[in-house]
Amino acid sequence: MTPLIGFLAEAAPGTHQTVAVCGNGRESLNLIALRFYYCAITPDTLISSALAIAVTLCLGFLIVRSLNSGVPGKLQYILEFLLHYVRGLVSETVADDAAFVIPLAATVGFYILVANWLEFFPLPAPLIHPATADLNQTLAMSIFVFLAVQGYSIKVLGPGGYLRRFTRPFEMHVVVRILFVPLNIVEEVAKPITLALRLFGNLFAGLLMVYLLGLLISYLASAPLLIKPLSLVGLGFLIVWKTFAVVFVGTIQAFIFMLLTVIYFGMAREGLEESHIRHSSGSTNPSVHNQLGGDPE
Amino acid sequence: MNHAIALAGALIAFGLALGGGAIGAAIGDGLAGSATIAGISRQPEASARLQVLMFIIIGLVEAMYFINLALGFYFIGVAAGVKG
Repeated sequence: MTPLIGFLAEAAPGTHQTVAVCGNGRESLNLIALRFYYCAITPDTLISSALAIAVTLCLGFLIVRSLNSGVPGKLQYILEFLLHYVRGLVSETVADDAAFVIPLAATVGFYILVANWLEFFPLPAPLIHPATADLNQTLAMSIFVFLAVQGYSIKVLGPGGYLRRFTRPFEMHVVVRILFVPLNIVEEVAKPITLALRLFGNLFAGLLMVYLLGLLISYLASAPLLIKPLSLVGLGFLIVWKTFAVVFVGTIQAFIFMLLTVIYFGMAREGLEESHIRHSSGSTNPSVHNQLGGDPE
Repeated sequence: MNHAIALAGALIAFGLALGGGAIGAAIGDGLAGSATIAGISRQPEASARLQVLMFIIIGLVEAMYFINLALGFYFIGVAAGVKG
């Protein structure tokens, strides 16, 4: 039974082998579980994310090599559909001139999808840990998105407009808007954290369930003869759950990460349309009118 | 002794968090499903788009529960490692 479990369920999730680069890994807060490093490497996640990057790049180059303008192949059709969807999403929620968001969002979505689906394969336990089930990986991605969104906001709104964005809602009195500043700051900082925790939590919980079901099966298999057949039921549960967690949850979470990336870029433009209207009353930009419900005053 | 108290507290807190999170996620899933059914019965031709939207919303709603679950296991791990 044990090799089968090794095939389906990874080792206890959340346990990483950490290689310290600097810092001495001293125990903090009187806890054994939390060790403090200034910077450290988790090789298991690095290997699996390198695998995911390699697979993503290979797929991309494969599609580019077999690109044809006639009847597209299946893989090309899927990628074209994804790219077309992202393009429509960006021009709808961000702006038509924000073309740099399209490759960023599509890459993030496609990479996370591949990384999630790689979890379907048995990853040898101490060596490889699924990339997106590690908080370090998801936090790195979401912090990059966060910084890109802040940079885009400063570029579009200007430094003054960027700071003014923290005094939402704009139509309120000045005193109320000042009271809203801390709330807005918290909201802005919470965005990358929830983005990272959402992906991590889903994939980690899925992995944990696989591990616990594997433990249950091995427990039942070593039980007395009467209960032994129950381990087959547990095996069925395990297969169903793993398929669900990888195929369904993995796809949806990759899609949500991409969607929220685009939406955050759209939110970074808040306040732009209003100030346009105020400065040049009766602006001729049609997209501005559309976003205000076609009623420019 | 301290260790046992910390572990018991962590387990109770984990149970509470799981229960509360499950209630919230279930209500959210139900709201999303009922709104989708209402939308489909009003406009049956929009069912494909509405189903995609529903699954996105469910993914967002259930994420909170999974965050609970994952962080709960982290807390238990930390509490189990407290030096007593």
